[in-house]
Amino acid sequence: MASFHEVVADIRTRLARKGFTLNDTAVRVSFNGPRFDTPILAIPDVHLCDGTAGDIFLEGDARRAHKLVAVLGVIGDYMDSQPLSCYALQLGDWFDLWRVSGGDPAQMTYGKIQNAAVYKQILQLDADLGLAHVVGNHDAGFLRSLPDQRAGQPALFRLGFWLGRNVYALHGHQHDLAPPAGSSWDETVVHVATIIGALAPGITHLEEYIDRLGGLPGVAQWLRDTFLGVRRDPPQPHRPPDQSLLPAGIRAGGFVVRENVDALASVVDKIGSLPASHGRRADVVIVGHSHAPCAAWTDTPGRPIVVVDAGSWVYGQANLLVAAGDTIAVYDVG
Amino acid sequence: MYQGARPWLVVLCFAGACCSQVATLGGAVVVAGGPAKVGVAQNPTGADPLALVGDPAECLPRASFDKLGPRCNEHQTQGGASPVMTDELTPGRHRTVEETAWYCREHTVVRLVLQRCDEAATYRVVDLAVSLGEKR
Repeated sequence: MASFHEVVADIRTRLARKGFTLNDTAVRVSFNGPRFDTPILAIPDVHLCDGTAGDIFLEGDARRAHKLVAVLGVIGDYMDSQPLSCYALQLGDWFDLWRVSGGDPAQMTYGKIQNAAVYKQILQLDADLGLAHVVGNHDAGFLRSLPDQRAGQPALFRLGFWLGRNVYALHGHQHDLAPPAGSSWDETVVHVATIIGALAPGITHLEEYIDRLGGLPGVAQWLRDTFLGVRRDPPQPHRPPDQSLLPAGIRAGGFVVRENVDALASVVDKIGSLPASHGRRADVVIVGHSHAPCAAWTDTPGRPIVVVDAGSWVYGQANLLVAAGDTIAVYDVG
Repeated sequence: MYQGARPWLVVLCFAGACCSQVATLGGAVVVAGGPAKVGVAQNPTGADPLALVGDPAECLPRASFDKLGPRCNEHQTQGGASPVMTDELTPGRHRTVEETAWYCREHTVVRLVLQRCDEAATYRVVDLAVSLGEKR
């Protein structure tokens, strides 16, 4: 079994050969014993749009695409080099269908994403890897229609995956997104913000407010900050440090109080209780969605469950989650 | 797709009774469907079907097929993600075996099913269907 340090050193070396660095973030949790028999490499929310001015992944900079190409290539090279390989997955919001199609399409109406020349290599590597994708809220349309290159692999697009017997991955929006039945407020506001951003690239900042603060609060805060001439970045979700004692089984970790952790742990606990889960029980849950990497824990289901948020690839971030042996951590590719 | 004496790619379609039930092509008039082969064409002779030189299942880079025209910005769904949430992901690569490519120009829609030949991402055509006109 590869140790955490061996896996990280390997990934770091391979990235360096391509001209990129693997930088630490504050998110790192070490357990008292092995938790990850098979290494896990996870890419959080990417939000591929149509490559134009409102594209929050690309941000008008082709180097963003080159960076993702490098990471996908490194993941493939790593898997080819390891007899026991690893789990490689993307944690949802791979495409941003809300921004490009204006909602959750039933048909394949997002050709502008998969036909964008700037994404050709990314999507070919995605097919070459057969990367598994958790379905998120911005690409929930995948539940009805898959990208053309992946149309033959519905089993690799799911709302959640077990990664071994004790780790579960899902996007993380399941208890953060509860619009009234029939409401498409979130989809609409995001699409409108994207159109505005495409017409006036300087206003793409509005999208960031909506992503970080939600639809109505985001618009309100953006209007207020714009009116007052505030030029700071919109705030990340407020997550105070968790001052409680470390739960049993954990050697070290910097935890925060993250929203919805209890709800996410409950969702995964219920999935684990289904007969089809064959007795698997999560003690680690991997999510994305919030775009802000962090680690939190809860004992709501009656045992400690660590929830690691892997961050995103938007607004300048390029996060990569690595788990192996006794440690899980989130990095930023620079 | 044949250009003068210059060997060129040709897609031979075996249009039979086995026309594919293809997405938005379903409901429209499909003029060709079923297994197809890609290769270098011999010169046409009379009204005979075009013959291929050498291996009739030649593998080509995916971009080669884009000479068929612009890719569709939208088309009918081919099905969505799995609803199962209780399965374990299998470690390692899950390289695609078959992929689709859709081309749309005015009223013509072309759907290819491409089968991966090797790790270098070259493909052969295993199904081709063309529809003409509006849905019935």
